Amino acid sequence: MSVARSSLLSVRVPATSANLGAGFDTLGMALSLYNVFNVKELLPDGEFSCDVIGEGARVLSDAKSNMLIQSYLRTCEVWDVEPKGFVLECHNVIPLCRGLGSSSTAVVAGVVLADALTERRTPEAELLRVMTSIEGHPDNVAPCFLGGMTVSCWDGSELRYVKLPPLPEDMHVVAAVPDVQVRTSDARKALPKEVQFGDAVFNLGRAALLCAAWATSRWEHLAWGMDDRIHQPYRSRLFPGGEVIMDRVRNIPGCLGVAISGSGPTVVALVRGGPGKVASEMCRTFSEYGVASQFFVLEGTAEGTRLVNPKKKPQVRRTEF
Amino acid sequence: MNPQDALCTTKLSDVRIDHSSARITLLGVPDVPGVAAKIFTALAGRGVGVEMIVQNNMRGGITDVGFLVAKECLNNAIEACRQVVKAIDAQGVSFNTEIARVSLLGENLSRAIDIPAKMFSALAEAQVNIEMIVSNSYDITCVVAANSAETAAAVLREKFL
Repeated sequence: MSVARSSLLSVRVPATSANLGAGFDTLGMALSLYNVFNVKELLPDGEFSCDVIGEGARVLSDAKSNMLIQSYLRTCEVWDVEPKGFVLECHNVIPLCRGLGSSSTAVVAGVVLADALTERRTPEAELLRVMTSIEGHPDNVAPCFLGGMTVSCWDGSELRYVKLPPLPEDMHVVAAVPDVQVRTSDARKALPKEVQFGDAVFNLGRAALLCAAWATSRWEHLAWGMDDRIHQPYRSRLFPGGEVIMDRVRNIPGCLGVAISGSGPTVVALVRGGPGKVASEMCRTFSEYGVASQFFVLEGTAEGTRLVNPKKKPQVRRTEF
Repeated sequence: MNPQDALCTTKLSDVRIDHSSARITLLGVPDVPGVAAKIFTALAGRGVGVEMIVQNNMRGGITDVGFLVAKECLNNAIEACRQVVKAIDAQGVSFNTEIARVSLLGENLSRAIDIPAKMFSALAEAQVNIEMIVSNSYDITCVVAANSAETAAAVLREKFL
């Protein structure tokens, strides 16, 4: 990570696709698209400055409201330590408010930097617990921190998580990202207050099938496992083309499953073989509905957060599944 | 040569739209010698030709590198880019197939000092966003969103032909 050379500390944090199919607030996977956060120099306790390059450069550069610094301060407060100040440089490439876990990268990096700067060497489970308490749900921060595909459950104070095996090398995640933003708070408001018993049963079966299929490499079951009745039907109405895009691509040869990423508007498809046709069809659909878009072809089981201290070896989480 | 004389020798002949390209952007590329060689060697190794290479001037020791490839080579280009991004430790790579090239063709365009300004102003008035630009003596080409291409071509024909 060359950007780390002139930094005291550098953290590379992956994008994530959470709420995967039927796994609302519980299933998420790390994607091979990374924000990089560098600590350039230390400042007196509690003093911060921030420079954002790339995504969000116009709106995220205020140190007082920067989410990474907020996460760092909250962590120091939880651990009852004085927060060392620092100059932060953010290289952001994960699109904002598109359902790819951009804000989770800031939450995770803030906790990791707090641990590094205080030299606490906090156990993995405790770091994740703090991250989840800040984020409010675990399905982004768990894969973001650990890498890979994770199943995680949170009861408001304790966390349980399991990392699933990696995807085969010839399987890609195509993420089509339209040029419209959906705020997580708006996406939450779009959900029904109550769930029909039949829909709950439908989702329980699909979520269990998705985990079992992933754990045993029974990829032919992904299409069912990524189906859902409790969030995608409501959130697909929040962005142009959302109500048709999944139907259009799920039957293209090689497409194993398709879902809204996070709270949208990004749509992800798991594809085996050449991803160009699926990706082009997704972006053509957004175009047809008047929205520009781009796509990424990503590893669905990317490595987790990587901390680089130029004086030490890089630390990557290598949790066994 | 006097700029007015240069204008007199410039001939504008056509406006063309080309939907055959896809745009690729490597994000967060380490700004060190040899990286561009690795990127384009990887693409060449899979038989992918490139056009309109643009390297952005960014801060903090990293840069973005963008270029166009033929859509028919998209799967090979995707695979080459994914591997090279990993090898050079870049932050990611994005792709866009919903683009078009709109070209103003002519002769001695590089001598006509006011044509680029007039062209870009006409596109701006029509609310067409330009994503990439390349020019030489024979054409000025803008990469725009695919669904803006007809509008862009229409305003350029009206302005120049």
